[in-house]
Formats: sequence, structure tokens, C-alpha cells
Amino acid sequence: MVLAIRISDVTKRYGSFTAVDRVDLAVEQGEVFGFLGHNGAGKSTMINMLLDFIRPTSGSIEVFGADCRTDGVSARERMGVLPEGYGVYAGLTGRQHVQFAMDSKGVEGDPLDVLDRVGITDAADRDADGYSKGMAQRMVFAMALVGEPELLVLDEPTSGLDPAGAKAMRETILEENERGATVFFSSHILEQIEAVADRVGIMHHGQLAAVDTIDGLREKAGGETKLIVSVSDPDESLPETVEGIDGVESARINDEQQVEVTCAKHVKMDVLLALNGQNSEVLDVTTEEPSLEDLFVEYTRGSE
Amino acid sequence: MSHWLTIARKEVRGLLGNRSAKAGVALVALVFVFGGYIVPTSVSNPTMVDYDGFLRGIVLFLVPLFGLLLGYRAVVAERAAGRLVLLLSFPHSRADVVLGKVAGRGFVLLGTLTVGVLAGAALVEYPFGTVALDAVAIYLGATALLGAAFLAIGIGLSTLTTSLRRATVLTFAVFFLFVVAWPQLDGYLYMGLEYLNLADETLPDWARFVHGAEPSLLYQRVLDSYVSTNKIRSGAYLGTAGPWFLQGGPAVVLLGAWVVVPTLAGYLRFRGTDL
Repeated sequence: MVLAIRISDVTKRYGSFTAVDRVDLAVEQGEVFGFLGHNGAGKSTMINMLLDFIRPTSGSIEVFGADCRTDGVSARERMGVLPEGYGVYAGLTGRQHVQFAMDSKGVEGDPLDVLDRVGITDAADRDADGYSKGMAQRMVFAMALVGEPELLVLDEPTSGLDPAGAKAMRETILEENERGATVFFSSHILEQIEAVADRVGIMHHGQLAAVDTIDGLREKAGGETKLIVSVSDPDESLPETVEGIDGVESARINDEQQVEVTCAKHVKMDVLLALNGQNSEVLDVTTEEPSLEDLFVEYTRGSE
Repeated sequence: MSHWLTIARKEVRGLLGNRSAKAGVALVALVFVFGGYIVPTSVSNPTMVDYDGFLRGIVLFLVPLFGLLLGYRAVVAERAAGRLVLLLSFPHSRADVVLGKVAGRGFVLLGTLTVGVLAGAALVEYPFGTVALDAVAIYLGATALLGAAFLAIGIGLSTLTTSLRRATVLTFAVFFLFVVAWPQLDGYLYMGLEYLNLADETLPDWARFVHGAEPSLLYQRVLDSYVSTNKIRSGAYLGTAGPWFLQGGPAVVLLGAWVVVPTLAGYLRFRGTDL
């Protein structure tokens, strides 16, 4: 099966600044791919190249086998796009915007159907220039949904939306995926990605730092646990005792006189038994599981 | 529906929904109507020659300005406001965008001039004048070509820069150079050529051709050839006795080239740039 998106060794330079650095990525048909990274990490540059708004310095991008550079129109015929930094047409209503999207894609139908799906039916006949940021975002999302595209490309789709609106949009994204659409969307908010994406690419300083499934990332992140143990009689000898256990990476007494142990998941019990056995008694235990957030921080810290 | 036609339709709808564009359109049409109203008050049996004679000086400023103003924001303003991003996220090519904009804005230009000129001509004809239909058609065609040439130049300019301010400055520089300064330069051209021993009594024909290749001078040559034939009004035309390349026909072709070349250059420029 042909890939929905194939990005091959793509670099984009602006003078001496490298916005995107040798990125390779393949997105399968039918998956929801989340593109995660800080603002300025190169996500939008990458998406703008996918849409042929800007041209790669080297490398190539294909959408369903169509080269985005030389055959951009066929590539975009199969896409529904929610771009970043768009402006709406003053003087055209929401309904007319969607009608324009339909004309552009050669689709028949009632604009109200998609406006209904994004929940701005009431504002359909108002000048889109007067829409709030969130309403404009919904309207352009509706334009992207026109014609049941095979690939949805959404750049920071939930920006400007309130939490309820963001949730509704995530549900629509999942519905579209159920229908068979491949979804490629970017966000700098981890929860957004975590909630819908099958796979995640982490973009950092123009490079693709990691690509994995959510579970895969969690596994990488979840290899180690931090135990914080309150003991009745904290003593400098305790960390030493614990560090002797196989699987413990480090142990120390923190400022609140608790024992802080970083260890592999499966030795947690051994650590507790060791701490409880001697002159002291374990009073309380809390654990800190590293989150995807930590992993994200881990991946994006190095060259900060 | 073709992609460029979709864009052209949206252009027309957008222009007609814009108050200042509507005011400009009305003003230009009214000037042509006004000409038809005034001419019969000073001439007893007015024809298109009198209409042309009365309006020529105004039209030479008004129509190029109208064309440039219709065109110069076309791409740059959309780009600055992010509407180009929205437009191009649909399956339109860059060629569709340029063609759609030229077609849509050209349609508004043509519509304005048609209404103005036809109403003006009707006022000349009624009740005492005589208006030949072919003269009206040629007058309208030439005036529309003049406007379209400056529209194309404006749209071409609007692809050159990403800053609206810079586009405005460029547009007025072009207006000043082409419409105000260039037609006055023939004297200097003659002096220069005379100094180089390339000219005798008058400008040589080839120099007249080069100098007269500017759109507003070409427009004058076309009107002098076909509309006001017995009343040559500009130095751009030597009458039927002149060489073939200074006749009306080649002038029409050159004026057409002023529509095509800036459009094409604008497209080539736009095709290669990042948004």
C-alpha cells in the first residue's frame, strides 16, 4: 500500500539557519500521526513544505505518491488542511467560505452539513471577519472536512479553542480516522497528541528526535521509577544500604529528610523491604512515574 | 468548474463586497458618463471623436491609476493577511491564483469601463450626435486594454514583495514613471540622439517606436489610428504615411503584450517563492 506521507531526507535552510534538518518520515494510511515539538522546532516549516507553501532546500515529500513540489495540486486534492497563520476573507460568510471550499474541490452538497459538525451553524450567515479566533478555527476545520479527504493535515488544530471545543475537535478527528482518513497533526501540547495519536514524532531544533507509538514512548519513559520514602529515622547509612541492591540507580536523603530512590520498576519492593528491615520503619511511600512529558523534556533538553 | 474560475468568481464577489472598491468603480464609470453629458453642450453635432478629444487627458491618468489600484494589492495583501495560505491549502496551483486574480479583477475593470463608455456614448448620440458603433467598440476595446495593461503591471508588482508598504511605493513609482514622466521624455530623447548624431530634424522612427512602446502612448496611437483619425492628437502617431510599425495594428499587439508579459512575469516570480 502506498504511504500517505513519505518525507525523504528533507532539509530547509534560511541563509545560515537550518529550520528543518534531514528529516525522514513515513506515515502509513489510516494512522493518526502526532507531530510534537516546541514552538519554533520546525513543525510548521515541515507542514508548509508538505503543502508546497515553501520549498525544501533538498529532499522530497510525497503524499499518496504525488510529489508535493511538482504535483502539488494532485497532492492537495486528497488533503483537507487546517493551516497555521491563515486569514479569512472579509465580506464572505462562513457558509460562503465552505461553499468556496466545495467549489475548489468540486464537491456538491450543503455547506451547513460540515458547519454543523464543527458546531457553528448559528453563525453560518455572518461575515467571517467578525468571528472569534475559535470560531474561525472551527470554520477552517469545516473547510478541511469538505469532500471526505483521505488525509487531514492539521497544524496546531486546537489553538484558540476552549477545552470543550478542543475535546469536540478531537472527537471529530477520531471520527474521521474511523471513516478511514489518515490524520497528520502538529501540536506543542502533549495531552492533545496523547489523546488521539497512534504514533508520535518529536521534532526538536529542526530534527526528528524520536518517532514511536505512544506505548513505545511510555515504555522508554517508564523504565525507571522514583520512590520517595518517609522513614522514622533517616540516616546517611540508608542510601548506602539501598544502593547495594541490584537495579537501583541512585539513592539519597532529600531536603525533607525522605529517602529518594531512583530504580527499576521491578525492584521497588526490594527497596522498601531493605528500608524497613533495619533501625528504621517505613512510614509513607509515594512514587513518581515518569510521564511522556518527562520523556519529551528528555528528548528536547540536550541542545537547549 | 475550473480552479481559476472559482478564484476569479471569489475575487469579483470580494471586490463588490468592499466599499472602497465599489466607490472607485462607480467614480470611474461616472467620469465616462460625465464626458458623454458634457460634450454635446459644447459641440453641435458630437461624435466619438469629440468624446475622445474631451476625455483623452483625463482617461490617460484615470484608467492607468484604476488598473494599478485594482491590481497592486492582489497578491501581496492576501499574502500579508494569510488568505493566500487558506487559498493554497486547496488544490489550486499558483497559476490558478494569478490567472484567477487577473480574470476576476479584469472582469470588474471591463464591466466598469463598458457601463461607463456605453452610457457616455449613448449621451453623445442622443439627441443630436452621431456615434458609429465600430468607433465605440474600438474606443472601449482600446481603453479596456489600457486598463488591463496597468492591472497586469499592478498584479505583477504585487508578487514582487511581501510588504504591502513596499508594494504601494513601487506602484506609485511605476505610475509616476509611466504615466507622468515617460510621455514627456521624447524631448530629452531627441536631444540625446542629436548629440550622438543619431537624429536630424526630428526623432528617427525607431526612437519614436521605442519611446512610444509605453502603454499610455500605445493607447494614444491606437485611438489616433482608428477613432480620431482626422484629428491626430498625440506625437506617438505619424498618420498613415508613417512606417508600418508606427501604425495602429502593431500598437494593439504591443498593448496586448503589456497585459500578457507582466502577468507571466508575475506568475513566474510567484511560482518560485515561499509564501
